[in-house]
Amino acid sequence: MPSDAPIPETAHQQGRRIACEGILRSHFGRRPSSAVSQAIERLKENAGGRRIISFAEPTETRRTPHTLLRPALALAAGIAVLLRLGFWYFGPTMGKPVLARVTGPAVSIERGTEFIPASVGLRLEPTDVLRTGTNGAATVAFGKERTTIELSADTELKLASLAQGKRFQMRTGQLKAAVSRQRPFQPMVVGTPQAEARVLGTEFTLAVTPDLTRLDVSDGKVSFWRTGDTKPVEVKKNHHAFAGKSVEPNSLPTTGGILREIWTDIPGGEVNDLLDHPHYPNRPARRDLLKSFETPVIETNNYACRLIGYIHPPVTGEYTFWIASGGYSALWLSPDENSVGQVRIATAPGGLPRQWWDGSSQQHKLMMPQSPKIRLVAGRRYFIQAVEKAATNSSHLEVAWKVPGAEREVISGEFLSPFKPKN
Amino acid sequence: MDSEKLHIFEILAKQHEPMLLAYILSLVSDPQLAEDIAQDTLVIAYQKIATLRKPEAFGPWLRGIARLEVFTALRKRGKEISFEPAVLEGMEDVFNALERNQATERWQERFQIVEECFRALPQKLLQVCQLHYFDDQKARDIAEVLQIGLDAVLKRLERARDAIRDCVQKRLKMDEA
Repeated sequence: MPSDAPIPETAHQQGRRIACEGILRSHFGRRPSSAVSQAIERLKENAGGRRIISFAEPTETRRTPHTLLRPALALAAGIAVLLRLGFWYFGPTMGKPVLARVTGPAVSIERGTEFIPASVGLRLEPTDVLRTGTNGAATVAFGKERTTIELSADTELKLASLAQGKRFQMRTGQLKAAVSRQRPFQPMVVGTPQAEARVLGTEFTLAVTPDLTRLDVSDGKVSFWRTGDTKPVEVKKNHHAFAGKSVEPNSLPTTGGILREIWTDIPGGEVNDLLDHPHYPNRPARRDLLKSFETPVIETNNYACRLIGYIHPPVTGEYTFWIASGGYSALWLSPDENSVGQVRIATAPGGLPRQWWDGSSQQHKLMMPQSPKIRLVAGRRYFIQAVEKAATNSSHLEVAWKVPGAEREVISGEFLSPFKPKN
Repeated sequence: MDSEKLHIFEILAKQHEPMLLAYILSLVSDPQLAEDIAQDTLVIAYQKIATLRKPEAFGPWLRGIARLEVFTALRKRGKEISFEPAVLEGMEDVFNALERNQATERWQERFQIVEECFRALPQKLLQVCQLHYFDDQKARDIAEVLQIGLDAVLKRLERARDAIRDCVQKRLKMDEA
C-alpha cells in the first residue's frame, strides 16, 4: 500500500521547485512595466539627462549582432514593400455606395439642407445622412464590390468620406455589414459616439446607443478603438466587445448559452457530495449547451449537474442573483473572468418548485435564497457556476438576476457564454 | 565604455528580462518589489558590464547580482532569508536547463514549457495552486473558499509541486540529482 505521507523534499529539489514557482508567477502575474526601460531611465537621469546608452527603443524581438544578416533583411524588407505596393495598385475594385434596398416610408436621406426621398438605386454622396426611422430598414451596396451594409430600424448613418476608404459615422441604431476585401491601408471605418471600428474585410454587427457601442464579429476580425484610447482591441470571429465612456473594450466570446455538465450515479444529497467525488469536475457523464440559466425538471436519483460559463452584464451597476433547485444547490460568482476568485454567493435547500422566487407564498419570500448586491461592469465577463445535487427528488436548477432598471428574470443566453472544458 | 559593449548590454538585458523577473519572483512574492529589485540589478549590471568577459555567461552573471540584491532588499525590510547552497544550485539547474534549451531564443517561449506543465495539472490541483501562488491566499483561507479540509489543501499543493517538478524535469530531460 502506498503511503499518503509526504515524501520529504531534498534541498536540491526544493531549489528546482522554487525556480518553477518563480517562473509561473512571472509568466502569469502582473507585469506593470519594463524593468529594462525603467533601469535605462534611471541611468539616463544619473548622467544628467545625457544619453549615455546607445540603446535602441526596447523591442521584444531579438536583435542579432551578425552584421551579415542585415543586407539580407534589408533586401527582404524591400521586396515586402514592393509586393505591398503592387498589391495596393492591383488591389480590389472599390465600388460607390448605392441604396440597394429600402423598406418602409420612413427611410430618408439628408443631403446638405435638403431631405431626399430614399429610393432603390440612389447613389449616396459624402456627408449624406441616411435614417431608417421607426420600422424602416435599408441596405447600402457598393456596385461590383460585394460589400453590403444593412441598417435596422431607428438607425442613423452618415457617409463621412470616400477619399481614404469608406468612412461612416453612426449616431444610433444597428447595422450589419459584410465587407469584402478593402484596399490595403484603406479600411472601412465606422465611427460611433464611443468608438471606431476599422475593417479590411469581414462580417460584423454594430449596435449603438447614446452610452454604449457593441460590436459583434461573425467573420474575420475588426480593430475596435474606443474614443481617446491609444491602441485598439482586435475583435476576432465569434467574439464581441463593448465600448463606452467608462467601459473599456475587451474582446469576449459571443454570447448565446451556458454549458451544462451532468453526473449520474453519485449518491448523496449535498453539494459537497459532488464536489468531493473523484469524477468531479473533469469526468461528467454528459455535457450540453443550454440557452438560458435553467434546466428542465428531471425525475431521477443520484443526479448532479453544473451550469458553468460567463455572464456578460449589459449595464454597469448593482446586481442581485437568485437560485432555485430541486436538490441542494449553490451559486458561485467570480469578480472577473477567472474561476480563481469565485465566491459562493447563494445556496438553496432542495425540494422547492421551479422559479420559486416568483411564488406568492410568504414563507417562500422569507426563505428566498438570494445574493447580496454585487457591482458588475458592462463590457466585462464574469465567471459563474451553479451546482445542484439531488439524491432522490426531482431535479431542476434555475438562476435569475435583476439587472439595474429591469425586472428580475432567469438569465437568458443573450447574457451568457459557455465555459470551454479542456477534456 | 565603448558603445558596442553598451549595445550588446541592451540586447542581452532585453533578452534576459523575463528570466530575471522569474528568478527574483522565485525569491520574493511581491511583484512590485521584484520589479524594483530587477531595476537595481540591471543598473548594477550596466555599471559592472566591463567585468563581464563572456557575453554567453550573462544569464548566470545577472542572477548572481540579482540574488545579492534580493537578500539586501529583504534585509532592509527585516525579512532575512538564507538558502542552503543546494537550494540555490537546484534553482540554477532549472534556469541553466532553460538556457541550454536551443529550441527557441526567447525566454517567454521557454517558460511556455513550465506553463504547459502547470496547465496540465488536474483541475483540483490547478485551482489550489492559483489561489496560493497567484492570489497569495493562505492554505486556511483556501480551505474555507473551497470548503475542503486544511490537510486536503496542503496535500494538493504538495502533489501539484511534485507534478510540476516532475513534468519540467521530463520536458527538459534533466537527470535526477
